[in-house]
Amino acid sequence: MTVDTASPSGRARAEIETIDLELDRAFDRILDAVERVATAAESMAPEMAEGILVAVTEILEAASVRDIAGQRLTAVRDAVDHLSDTIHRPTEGGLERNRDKSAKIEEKHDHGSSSESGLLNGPQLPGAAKTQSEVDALFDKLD
Amino acid sequence: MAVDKNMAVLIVDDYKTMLRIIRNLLRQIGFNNVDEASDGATALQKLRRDNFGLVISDWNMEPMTGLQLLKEVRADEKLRGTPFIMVTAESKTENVIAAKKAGVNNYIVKPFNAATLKSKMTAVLGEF
Repeated sequence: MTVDTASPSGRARAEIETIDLELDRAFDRILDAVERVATAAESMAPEMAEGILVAVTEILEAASVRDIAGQRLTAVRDAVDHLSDTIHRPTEGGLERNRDKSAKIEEKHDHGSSSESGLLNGPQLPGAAKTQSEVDALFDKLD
Repeated sequence: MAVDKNMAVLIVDDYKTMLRIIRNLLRQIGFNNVDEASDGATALQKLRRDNFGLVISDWNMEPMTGLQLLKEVRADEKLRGTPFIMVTAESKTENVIAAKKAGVNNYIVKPFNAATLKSKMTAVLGEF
């Protein structure tokens, strides 16, 4: 990974990439172990396997946070890029490139857009996100 | 009619960890015939080539989103009746409305649990 870590934004990006990579490695190991446990449990007597498989399911449910965490890291990375482009003094010939990049990030966060890109918001912050029950109520109302 | 737990399920997500988690959760509830696609175009290819009883798809993928995949499935004469569940972090009202309008059968918000996955699959497929 070739990243300018001398600047604060470069360092921030490098840290985010490292977090992402290390989390991926850890979760791969977790899932490897869970799959081994699940396979072993399937050859046990049902009464012995039941409790183990309940725990396996709970681990899988908890592990799904990795997906959301990854999306939040992407949001942080985009914010770092946006701030960096906003405050960075454009170099000669770099102005258009910086404008294009900032515009792309702005478009991604354009909540008012009626095009499909306006539907790509990623995970909401706690308190702002709809729960499954709220989504269910809305979904059923649309029948 | 009883649900055939040997039916093929296609899971679509651009994040391999999520594919692995959903595959394992499906295994826990008795569905072992699971195929995967990490993007919409590959999913569409597999759907057109093989028979799937259910699609479980993420939304936020590039270049084809899960919503676009759903619209392609519903526009395809052979595929249009395929049960389709969206599993996504997109939880805004407009997302649910857009997915429903496009013909999604059910909608799960991430993070989710196995009970929710099972109950939404039951709602779409019937008791199993």
